Formats: sequence, structure tokens, C-alpha cells
Amino acid sequence: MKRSLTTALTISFIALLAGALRAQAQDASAQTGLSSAITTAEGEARFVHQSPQGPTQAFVREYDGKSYDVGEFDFLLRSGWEKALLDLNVKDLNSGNDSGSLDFSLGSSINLKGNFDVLTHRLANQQDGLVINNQWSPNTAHTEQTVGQTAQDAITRDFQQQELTLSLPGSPEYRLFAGNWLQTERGNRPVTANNVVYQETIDRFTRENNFGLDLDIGQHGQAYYEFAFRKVDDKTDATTIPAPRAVADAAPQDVTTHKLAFRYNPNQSLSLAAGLSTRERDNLSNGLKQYNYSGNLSASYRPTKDLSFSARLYEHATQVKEQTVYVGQVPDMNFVFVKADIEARYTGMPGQTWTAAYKPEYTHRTNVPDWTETFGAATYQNVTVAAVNSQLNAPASDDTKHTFQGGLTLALPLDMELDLKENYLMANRAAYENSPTLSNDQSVALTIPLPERLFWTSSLDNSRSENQRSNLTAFKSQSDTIMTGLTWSAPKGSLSFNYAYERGTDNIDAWFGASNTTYNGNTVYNLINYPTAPYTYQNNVLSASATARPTQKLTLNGDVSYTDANGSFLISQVFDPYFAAGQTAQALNPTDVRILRWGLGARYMLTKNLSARAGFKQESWIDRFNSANDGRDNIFNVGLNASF
Amino acid sequence: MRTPKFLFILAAGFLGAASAVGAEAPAASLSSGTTTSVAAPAPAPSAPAVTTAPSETAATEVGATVCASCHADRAEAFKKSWHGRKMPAVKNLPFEKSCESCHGPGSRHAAAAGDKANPGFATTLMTAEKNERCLSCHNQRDIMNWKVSTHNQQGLACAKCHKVHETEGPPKPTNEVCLDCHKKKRMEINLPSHHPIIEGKVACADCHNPHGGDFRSIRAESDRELCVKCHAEKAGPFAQEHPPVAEDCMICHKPHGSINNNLLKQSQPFLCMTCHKMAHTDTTNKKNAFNKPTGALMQRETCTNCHFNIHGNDNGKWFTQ
Repeated sequence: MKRSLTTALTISFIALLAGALRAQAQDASAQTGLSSAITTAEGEARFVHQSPQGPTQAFVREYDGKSYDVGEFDFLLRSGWEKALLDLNVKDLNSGNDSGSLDFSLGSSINLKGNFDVLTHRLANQQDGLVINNQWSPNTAHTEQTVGQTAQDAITRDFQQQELTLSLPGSPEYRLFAGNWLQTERGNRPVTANNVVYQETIDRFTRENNFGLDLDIGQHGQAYYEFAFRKVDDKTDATTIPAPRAVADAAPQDVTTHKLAFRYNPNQSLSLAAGLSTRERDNLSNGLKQYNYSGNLSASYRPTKDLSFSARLYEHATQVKEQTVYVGQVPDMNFVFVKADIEARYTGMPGQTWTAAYKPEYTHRTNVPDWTETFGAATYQNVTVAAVNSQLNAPASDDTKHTFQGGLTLALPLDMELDLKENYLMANRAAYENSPTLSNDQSVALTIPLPERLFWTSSLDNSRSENQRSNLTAFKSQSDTIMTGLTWSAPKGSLSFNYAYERGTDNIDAWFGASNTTYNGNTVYNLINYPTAPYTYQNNVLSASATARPTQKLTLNGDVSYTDANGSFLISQVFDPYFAAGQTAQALNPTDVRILRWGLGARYMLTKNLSARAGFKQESWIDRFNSANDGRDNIFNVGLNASF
Repeated sequence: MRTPKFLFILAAGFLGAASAVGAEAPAASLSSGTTTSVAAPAPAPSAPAVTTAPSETAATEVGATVCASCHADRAEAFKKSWHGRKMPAVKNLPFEKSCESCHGPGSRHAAAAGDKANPGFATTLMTAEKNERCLSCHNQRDIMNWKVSTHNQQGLACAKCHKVHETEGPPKPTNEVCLDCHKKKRMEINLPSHHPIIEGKVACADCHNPHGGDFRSIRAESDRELCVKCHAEKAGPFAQEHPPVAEDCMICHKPHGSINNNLLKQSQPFLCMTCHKMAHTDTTNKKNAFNKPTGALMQRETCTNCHFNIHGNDNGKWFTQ
């Protein structure tokens, strides 16, 4: 009731404002004779109905928190006068997913921008499981404390942002700015702790206030300083989870940031930029303080119209000041990274664009945790015997990466264009086991203009990466992607079609502990070793949209997207002894999902200032393994749009 | 249908020659088929300092009315556009001055009857020179790194992404504009786990600054700082920290979209095992879940069922509290 009243008041206010502004604009237009004194106002009222199908909403419309079978309202106002400009746009009022934006300028002195948005994220509790004999077998160990596997837990995030800029007259030009950024999160989420699913209440907010000065330095320079203070308050309720498993992720923080930036463009060929920032983050829960220092230097130089160079240097350091109240606590890791980019582009040869880049990176870490992987005495299933041992598995204290990039865009006959790219990375060691010491990516793309304003593009990407220095998991990764698209645009309509296919495999040297048992006549004491254990994935994504204007009054539109995605940790027959006789497991925690979203809509101009529209959308989520995730929704809407 | 174009070309040749020697620029009023002489108006009170290309020096301003005589549809759309409304309101630039404040003096173009190849018109400028005209007004702090940005280095024109004539609201490009070039991201944002980009709740430009950011093209000084602005509860610093979390979220997550829950690169336990080779294989450890007769593997567990505070915590080791 309160919400409806607020909405009604808001709409009434907006309508009054629109009327007043329209009158003022007409007055201004009459007085000044300026054709630029224009006001456009539009309002739309829409009725939206949802017809869900399936036992649960599950993953269908994961980010939709709308209330259905209610009226929604949009309002749009665009005005421009001799000395002022106003744009106001609110969407989906009364829906639960409201959003809006405001932009107001008064002369060249004042600019106020603002927006708000409500985002709902429903958090279905995804089940774990195995595929045994090609059938889904969900985790039976989980028990439900306060929430079911199919519970519709959700977090609602409200975003708000405002920024005011005051431009002061004179030379040099000064601009003062102040901003406010607010995010609130409220709701519930499922948390699985020690095989029990609990419901955790989320209640957090983050507010950041910033202000600063932006000034021109002569004709060629510019500088700005910004101060920001961020307050994070976390009242997340962990009481539903009993000790000692109570969730302790409530982390109220105070974050203070200073930022200084410069640019200098002495001429059209040379540009220089630099920035410095410091950030202090105080965790008010545990007393730890984190300090970040960042600096960057950039330059671009265009000696001729065909040749350009750019260079960038970044440095970022993170240090944590420790507290000693926590038993067994080790110092947090500190690190410094330095990254540089040096790029060149040459267009001097007809029909050819050459690019080259070199990107070195260096990271230095201190207080690296002394993590070891401990290995019991074991006989593997392949009768290999291992003694008790342990291996250090800590991030590297130092690592250096060198990335080389090259590219060529080539004009071909019939206005076709070929684009070739190469990206090659070498590292002296991997910082983490799953980071590569070597990677090699290539891509080739072809654009073909066809008759009747049709453009066809297609590309093939190939990526290979590997941690060659690993004596632990020996991580390897490879993927191939094929993409193709078609676009068409004409006064009577437009079409966009895109299709992508991606497949890839990641491999590791995997080790599992298991009970003593007999496998192929050999006693397996402790371990299963699964060298080059694969995680494979395959995605097909298709999307298309079209608009048609068969007559001046009628506009039709349609869109469709289809995703077929699957990925799984494939396990092999070496695991068979751990299942009942006759059972073979194929995959651990697989995903095999098909998502279809499509919609059709029409808009018809009843009069010059009045149009009607109707639309239908459907979203389906089909999980091949776990039908608990399935759902299908139909959404109908009809609306009237009036221009004032 | 070819005759009018032929006549235009003839007229263009003639008028182009005339403008080269004339003190005032003659302009062709193509709609009426007659030629009128238009005096160059006085400079606008706060016209932006636009760099003039050498080829434009011989041309003079003719005013938007002359432009509109051929480009009527575009002129009408422009009046309603963000630019068309903002120029008089904010820059004190009347409509009559608006076309040439960006395109440069149009007398030679008008005289050439719309021949875009004719020197002296902005469409013949190099991309960098065109961009320079936009930057003469658009120099706010969000854009100040444009000249050292990756997009500029790649030779992108402002107009590649921004539709300056038609866009009625603030000319912010939609996600579609980004996805036209970044095609692989289009696929990723449609995967089962994704940021709400296709739902219209997150824009590419919320995280990326296409005009050049402080750290590569993102709106923060590091990847991690970008993520924890919204996901503040994971920022720490924690008494017990997971090193990859402290260093870079991208070690475990794919921010644009993934097959796996929570934008993870791989599903659990594979993701964890890419670093932790021997987790729970030590039979001397009584907490060894994998050493039970049925084994955790057979219970279909994932690592975060127990290590649920994997982003860091204060109470106890191993992120289980």
C-alpha cells in the first residue's frame, strides 16, 4: 500500500513537472525563437503478467525480482532550453526492479547526474552430485536446516549514484565535483556448512562519498584530485549456523582513498598521463589494516599519421598491518606488481594495419604462506609406491611474465577484411599452480560485406596454455572458439545474428585419497592418481534480434538467445572400485544446461502522440542432470505510451 | 535518375572553383535548385576551440540552415538529440552554429554539392583529427586518458561508438556496441552463470572505462579493487587469507560468464585441485574426509561445503568457520 502510494505520488509529481517544464519550454521558445527549446515527455503504463511453469522458479530469470500481475510505469522527459537541459528517465516503477536516471545541466556551470537501480539476484542452492551409469546422482550427504534445496533465496541490491559537478568560470577552467554511491544488499542466501544447508540473512550496505577538483592547466594540460570515503556496514546474521561453524564473513570496513591524476598533451602527436592513488582499508571487525599504493605513467606518440606508439607503466602495492590477537595467525601476504605495455601501430602500407606489443610484468610477494601438500605413504592403483613426503605449494615469491602480441588487418578484394592476431606469454615461473608459464593464443577473423547492407563476420580463436615448471598439478589448458555473425541494417528494419561455439579441456595431475581396497588384484592403500585428469567444456551460444517497420505506424521486434553449455570433471574407471558392483561413474559435479530466451513485440502508433504495444517473452532453463533446476516462465505485457 | 547527380557534379566543380577565388563562400541550395550567397556568421560566444585541418582554411562557415537544406532529416533529429539540446543550453551555441562547430566550415562542401571527397570537410579528416574535435569539449576526468588509451591506439573514432546526431538521451553506448567488436564476451555473458549484463542491470562501462582507465581499461587501480567495490564482504583484510583471493579474483573466477556456479573457471573440486594436488590424501590426518570408507568423493562433496569461507575469515584455519 505504501509502495503504491509512493508510486502514485511519484508519477503525479513527474506529470506535473513535465507539464510545467513543457510550458516553460514553450515560453522560452516563444521568447527566444530558438528551435532548440524542445521538450519531449513520454509516459508508459504497462500491465505485466507472468505464468510460471515447472515446480520451481529455480534458475529461470535469475536476476528478476519483479512483482507480476501489476502495473508498471515508465516516464521519460527530455528538455532543452536556452540555459538548461534536463533528462529524466524512470523505468519499471512499481515492478520491484525499478530504475531511473537524471541528468540536469544549468548553463555551463552546474551538472547533476543521478541514477538508481534495483537488482534482485535469486540464489538457488545448486546441488552437487555425480553421474553414475550416465544417471544424475545428487549428493545425499546434505541435510536441510532451514531451507530446502529448492528454496527461493534471493538478495536484493539497491544501487544509487549521484554526482554534482560545478564548473567555475574563468581561465583555467575549474570543475568541482562531489558524488555519492550507495549499495544496499538485503535478503537470504543458502550456505552449506559441514554438509548442512543453512539460511543466512544478508544485511549490508556500502556508501561511498567522494569529492574533488578537476582543472585545466593551460590549453594542453589537465589535473584532478579526488578524495573518497567508503563505509561498509555488514550486519549479516550468522546466528542460524551453530558454533564452531558460524559464518564470520561480516566485515565492516572504512576505506579511504586519495587519487591524483594528470594529463599533458603538448601537441597533437604526444600525450602524457600519470596517476597516483593510495587506499587504506580498515577492517573494523578484526582490526587489520590494508594499504594500497598505485601509480601509473602513460604516453602515446604519433610521429606520422601512419605510425603510433604507446607505453604504459603500472605499479600496485598491497601491504597489510597485522593484529596479533588471532591464535595461529600467520602474516597476510604483501605484494607489489609492476606491469608495462609498449605498443606500436603502423598503417603506412595500403590496405594493411600492423600492430605489435610487448607487455612485461613483475610481481614480488612477501609473507608468502608456507603451505605444504602432505602425502602419506601410499601405493597407487597402478602399484607405484610412494613414501611419505610433502611438497611446498606456496605462491612464488617473485615471478616475471613477458607477453608478445602481434596483429595484422588486411584489406582483401571485394572489400573483405582479414584480421590476424597472436598472443604469446612466457613466465619464468608460475605464481600459482594453475597459472601458465607458457601460453599461445591465435585468432583469425574475416569480415565480408554482402549485398543489401549485409555484413558477415567469422572468426576462429585457438588458445593453449601450460604450467611447464609445475612439479605438482601440471596444469594445462586448451580451447578453441568459432564465432560467426551477420548484421543487416536498413530504414525498414535491422537484423543481428551471432553464433559462438567454444570447446576446451583443462588437465591436471589429480590425486584422491581413498580407502584401502583391491583393484585389479592390487591393493590400493591410500591414493588414486589420475594423471591428466580432464575438465572439459563445450558451449553453443546463439543470439539474434530483428526489427521490422512494415509501415510508418507499425514496428515489430523479436529476439532470441539459446545457450547450450556443458562442463564436467570427467572421472575414469580407476574410480570403479569405490562404487557398487556394476556402477561406473562418468563425471563429478557436471553442468549440462540449455537456456532459451525469446520474445516478440509490436508497437503501433494510434495517433501521432499515442502508441500501444504488446509483447511476449519466454525463458526456459533445462538442466539435463538435475531437474530441480528446471523452470519455464511466460511473460505477457501490454502497454500504452503517450507523448506530451 | 542519373541526371540530377550528374548536374550536381557539374555544379560542384563550378562552385568549388568559384569558392576558391571568392571572398564569401557561395553555397548551393540543392532543395530549391538555386544558388545563394551566404555570409559567414560571426563566431559563437563560447564556441569550442576546434582544431582546423589545413584543407579547411579555404572554407568559410555557411550556417546550419544551409546544411539542413540537404540534410533535413538529420537536422531535425539533431535538434531533439542530446547534442542538439546541450549545445545551446550548456555551450551557448545556437543551432545555426552547431553543424560547423564539429564538422568545420562547410562552404566548400556545400559548393561541391555534397561531394564528401571534396577537401575542406570533416569527413575527409583522419580519425585522430575527428576525435580531436570531440575532445575539444569532452575533456572531463573520465575521458582525460583517451589519448593514451588502448581504443585510441587502435584507431577508434568516437563516432564508432557514439551516435552524436540521433541519440536523444545521453549518448552512452549500449552493451551491444561493445559486443559488436568483443564477440567472445557476447558468448560469455550468455553462459549459465553470468553478471546480469543481458538482463540490463550491469553495463560493460560499469566496470570498464573505454576511454582509458588507471589500470588498463578498468575503473579501479587493480582487478581486485574493482570487484570488491560491489562485493565488499570479500575485501578483508582477513586474519586468515587465501592468497589468490588477496591478489586477484581472476585466478579462480571468469567475470563475464561461466558454465560453473559463482563464475568459477572450473567446477569444484577440479578448480581447487588445480593448485591443491594432495588435499585430503594424508591418512595420518584424522580429518581426512577422503579417507573414509565411503569417501568424500562418493558423497559428492565440493570443497566449499566445508571450506565455505574460502574468501577469508578471522576464526580458525582452513576457512571452515
